[in-house]
Amino acid sequence: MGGPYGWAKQDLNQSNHNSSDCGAAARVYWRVEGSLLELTTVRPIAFFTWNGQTFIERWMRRGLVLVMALLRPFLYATNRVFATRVVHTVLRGISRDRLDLLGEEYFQYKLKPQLKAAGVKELRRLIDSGVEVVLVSQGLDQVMGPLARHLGAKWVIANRLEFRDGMATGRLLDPVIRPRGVLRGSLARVRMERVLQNNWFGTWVWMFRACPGRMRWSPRSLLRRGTSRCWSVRSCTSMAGQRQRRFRFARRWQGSGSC
Amino acid sequence: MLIGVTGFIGKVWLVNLLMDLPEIGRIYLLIRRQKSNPADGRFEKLVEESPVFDPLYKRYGAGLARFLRERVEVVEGDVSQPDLGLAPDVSEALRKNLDLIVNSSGLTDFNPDLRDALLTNVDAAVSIVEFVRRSDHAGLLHLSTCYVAGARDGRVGETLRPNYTPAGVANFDADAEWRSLHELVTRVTEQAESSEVTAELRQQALQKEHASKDLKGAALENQVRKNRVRWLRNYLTEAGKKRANELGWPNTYTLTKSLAESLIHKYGAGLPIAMVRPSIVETSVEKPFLGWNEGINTSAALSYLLGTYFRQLPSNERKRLDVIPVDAVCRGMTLIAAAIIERRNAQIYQLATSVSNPCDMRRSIELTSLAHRKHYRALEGLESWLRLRFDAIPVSKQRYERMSAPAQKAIIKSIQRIMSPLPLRKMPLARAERSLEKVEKLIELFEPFILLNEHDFVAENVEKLAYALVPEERADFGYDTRGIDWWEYWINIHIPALRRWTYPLIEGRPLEARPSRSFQLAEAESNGDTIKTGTNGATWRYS
Repeated sequence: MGGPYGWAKQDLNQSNHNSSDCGAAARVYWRVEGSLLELTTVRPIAFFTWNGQTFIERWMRRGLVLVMALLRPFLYATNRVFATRVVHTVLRGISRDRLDLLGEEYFQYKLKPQLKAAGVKELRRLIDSGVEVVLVSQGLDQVMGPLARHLGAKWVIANRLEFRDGMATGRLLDPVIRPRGVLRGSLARVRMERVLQNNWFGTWVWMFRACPGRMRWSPRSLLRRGTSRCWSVRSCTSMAGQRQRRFRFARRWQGSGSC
Repeated sequence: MLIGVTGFIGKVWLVNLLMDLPEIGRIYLLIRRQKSNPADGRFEKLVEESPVFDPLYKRYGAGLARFLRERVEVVEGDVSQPDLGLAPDVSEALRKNLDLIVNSSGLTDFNPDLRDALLTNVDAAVSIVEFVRRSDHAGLLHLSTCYVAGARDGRVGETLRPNYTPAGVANFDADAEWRSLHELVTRVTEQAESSEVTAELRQQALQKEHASKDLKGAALENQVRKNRVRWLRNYLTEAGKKRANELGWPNTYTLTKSLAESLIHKYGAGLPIAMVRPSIVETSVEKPFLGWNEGINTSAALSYLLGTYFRQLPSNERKRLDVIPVDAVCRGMTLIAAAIIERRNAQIYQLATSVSNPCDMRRSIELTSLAHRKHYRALEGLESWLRLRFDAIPVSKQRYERMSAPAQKAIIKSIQRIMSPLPLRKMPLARAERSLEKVEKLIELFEPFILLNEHDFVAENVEKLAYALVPEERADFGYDTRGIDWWEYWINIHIPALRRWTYPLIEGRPLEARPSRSFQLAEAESNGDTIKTGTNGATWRYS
């Protein structure tokens, strides 16, 4: 059925990818920050808060963002995951509907004009070659979804907020994709990494937590770090009927033997 | 036979049926003659000009006329007349042949003239039931509304309570009420002709500033006649509204629809009749095409208001705004029609989403604002920049009165009072005052739907029919409102559709220009002439 009908079913199917997916063709995990965009954690949050529903709410949240911005260097130096969690708490109480729309808007009007042409070109070439590209970003899935759709990437790993009754609780769901390190520039230039064997799909994601700035692992080390769980990523393909669908990220635990 | 094809639901149902079931035997369309415009002409104009017929044009192209000739027959009649106003031979033939009558006619204005409301919503329903009773085997699908539930809270089941009033009036008899309302109309009509009222109206005419100098003789009488028409209309509108409120309904529309249900139950006992109650019928999601809407009687005016600088909407955040796409309604109607023909129908079917897929007022308001925001964000200019920052918020009635339109109006009045000694040609802020008055009236009109009465309309009977469908027919005829994504619906379908089809009417702008097309239902004459009607892009809406 076309239109908005049947989405729930389709979502279910798409999030239900299983071990056969895990063992599919070559898959590349592509860090968005640096290669495609210079995306910071705070700016999108500031944008979301500045576009809250009421005037008072906007000013209050903006004040909180200011406080976060002041605290951030210390938090960042202490623990980047914690710093990321803290900065997202200001989104507590904003509806998912609003964040979805603002995410689209932020991508459309703020990020899209800043996309790096060389990175986009390389990414598209890779997608056209038949490789499954998984975008990885510290940004929220509300922003990364539209980016993935724009680029034609089917998969995204991004930070996700927890929602209750359609309202953000301010808590980030695990795994938290943390920002890149301060010395990322000196360590290595951002580059794409190709991972040919995906039987350890979940491990790759786990590895992003360990070293998100650069992809410094080898398949051998991953085999050693084998994990019993697997994170699924949500497809961003358009719905039939040419309408772009809302992007939602879901996680699903897989059995230890499946991946 | 379909009655009410010129309406929003009627048109969509006809087209969807012809698209999904082109092999259907024959559909008779009962259309009223409009002055010099015969029923055939009205239907031809409809096909020519309404975008609803686009999918049929796309499928059949030049062969559409032939296809419609094979499947559709227009009959001239008037449901408020005895025997539906049909010619005797036509009536007899229809009574023998009809399997089903679908009555989607009705006056959907919330507070119309009581005469019109009674005639269209009650008298017509009773006439149709009489016709069904005299038919060989016809059933009836009568379109009502969920909001016959009136002023009450909680779950509204799919049951019919004859002689129901929301206020729980003891010994209420719908039949007696119907007759009493007719008596009221007769009494007031006579009163309008009385010498007291005539004197009052004449006085009114003479007191009018612009006319007092010249009005005399025939001109004066003409003015009195006009005033009498207006007086009668206003009186009956108020009388209908007052009576509805006394009995627990928010407006005349729901009162008359409920009376019709009770009377159909009484006069149609033993007949295959199903009453279908849709909730707020809005934009289509699939058929006849994505994003079709028409008219400004439903939530269009309110959603338009939320796209302006108006911010504080008095509403109950928890209340579920029950909106259903028109094509979901039509799918439901088709299933119910089949059930009636099979004599397996229930008495009442509700087509609603408040239980199956609820969307509360808080969310509806936010989604509407977000949809406007998306539109304004794409535009350049200071006004768009400002407007996208004015999100509407749900507030209590007290806060609305203290801080929104009523308070603003009071401020304006104070300014005007202060300025009144000054020799100004025009009162300052007169336009703003008029706008605020309109807003107040609009809010008052919609209060029962956005602030009062927490209804949860159960819609299980139609779902049972949908579950019983064979799998291969589910794509075409399945009914599923549970899968609607309200975010997508509101932001990308419904509000853009209103912006395209309805807001221009509110703003007094023409609708988008469409290429003209010609259509003639009857076989062309030997000289090959066809009736050609130009399209100015707006006239079809009033057909």
